[in-house]
Amino acid sequence: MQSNDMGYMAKSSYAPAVTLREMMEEYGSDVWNYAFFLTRSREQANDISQEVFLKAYRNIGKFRGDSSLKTWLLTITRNTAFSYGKSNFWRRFITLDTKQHLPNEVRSAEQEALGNAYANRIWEIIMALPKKNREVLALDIQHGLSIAEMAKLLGVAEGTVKSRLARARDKVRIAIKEEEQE
Amino acid sequence: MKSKADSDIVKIEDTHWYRDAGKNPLREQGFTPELMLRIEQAAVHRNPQDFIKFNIGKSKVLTGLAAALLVLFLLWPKDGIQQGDLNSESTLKSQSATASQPFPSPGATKYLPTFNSADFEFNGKNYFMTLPLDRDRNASYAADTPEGILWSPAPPMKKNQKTKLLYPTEPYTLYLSSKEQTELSPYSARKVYTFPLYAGGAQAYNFLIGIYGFGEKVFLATGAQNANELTAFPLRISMLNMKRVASGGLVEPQELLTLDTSSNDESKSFLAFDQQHESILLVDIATGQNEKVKDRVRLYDLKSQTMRELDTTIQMGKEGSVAIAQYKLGGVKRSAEIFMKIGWQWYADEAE
Repeated sequence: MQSNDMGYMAKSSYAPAVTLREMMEEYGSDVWNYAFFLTRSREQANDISQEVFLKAYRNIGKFRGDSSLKTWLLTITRNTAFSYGKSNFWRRFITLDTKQHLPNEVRSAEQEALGNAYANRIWEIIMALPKKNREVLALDIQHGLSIAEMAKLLGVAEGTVKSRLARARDKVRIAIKEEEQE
Repeated sequence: MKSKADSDIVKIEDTHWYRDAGKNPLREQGFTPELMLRIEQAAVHRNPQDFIKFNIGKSKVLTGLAAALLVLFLLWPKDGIQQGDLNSESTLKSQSATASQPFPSPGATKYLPTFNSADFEFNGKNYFMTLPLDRDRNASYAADTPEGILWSPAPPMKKNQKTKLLYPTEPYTLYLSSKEQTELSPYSARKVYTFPLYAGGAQAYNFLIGIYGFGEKVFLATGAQNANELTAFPLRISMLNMKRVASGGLVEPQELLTLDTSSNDESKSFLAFDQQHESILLVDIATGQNEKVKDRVRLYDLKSQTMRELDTTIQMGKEGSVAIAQYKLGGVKRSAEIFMKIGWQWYADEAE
């Protein structure tokens, strides 16, 4: 957690004094990046970020301060990402255009395009991991959440978070080692 | 905040690649100033009275100065915005247009996408539809045809409060635009067909799911969903002949197939078009551990309008960037271009 989160966690007044713009300036990248980790799609990350900030701004009065504002926003992000496809039932149908790739390939057209956009090879490896693995790594590396915070956000036991994290790290470490040996 | 116990589980060998990874996965920022402005516009659109209230503690007060700054920011001319391909004129028009005026401009010939435009690319040329902020860009479709771009903008939708299912409040409409017109606007397009809003019941609505162009033939995928309940619904595939469309008048799509999608939560299917033999290939991929269960393969012949079961294996591959399914008929290998995947399992595979 970053030190500037603390300013929004006054015990007597949980709802932070924050404008929509301030909220976005402070946490926009966190929300977008987490949505991107979950969906691996820029387009969906944009749409989900919009929904998250609109929901957060509308419901800021319900924020109780039992987590940091950032964790609260990440929780909304996760819930929004998971319900994103469900209310729009027609998304079960996936259109393939001539640029898209085989359904059983891991990389979609956008992921293919993203290949060169990653900051480095490590992120490419992380983004190719199954969702459960990459999600805990993102929450750890990028957002710096504690095991307890991750467990609460993910709705699983702390032991589960630890084992997922350990598995994810093993996978990345092995992938890096294999590449170094090639 | 990390405790010592947490940090202990970061082993020594992890630390170097943790450090090397850095905080940001992408070279460029994903959360851009343009996206921030789009969100602010959406907030103004959805709840203008709430947007200028600022939450201080548990009491809400109007903060005039901040609101004025916000309005100033939203109305600031284009030169004041530093990044991206923002076009402030279009932006302001779409902001004031909102739901009552979905298409603010008569159809530009330059590529000037706005915050909520649905963007398409055909043969290296970009096209865009300007949409009000309450429209789902992903429910907008377009296909390249020899007669022009056939397209349909996302209609306004509402959410059923009980089921949370979205449903359209206006029908889907197909338009045909000249390929020279980069903005897909009804003002510069010809209306081709309007689908019925209702699908046989007050709460059952028609949805357009996709438009797929193969030369003069365009396939339309539609479905109907009851807003009160998430249920499986038949997927309908119909066809438009673009030569007939170009000859003028309203043309009704010709219904070809009605497909049961009730088992799609667990299964995976796809549709492909064999242009050479004018046939649609329907494949239900065998999932699960039982190796005796084979893929179900059917072939719909457009000329005879008949469907037949095929005893063939399916090989999936690529020709260039096009996804291809190869099958055999009478011992002869054939090829069809995959254009639609069906079933949640595709998503589940991706997630796992």
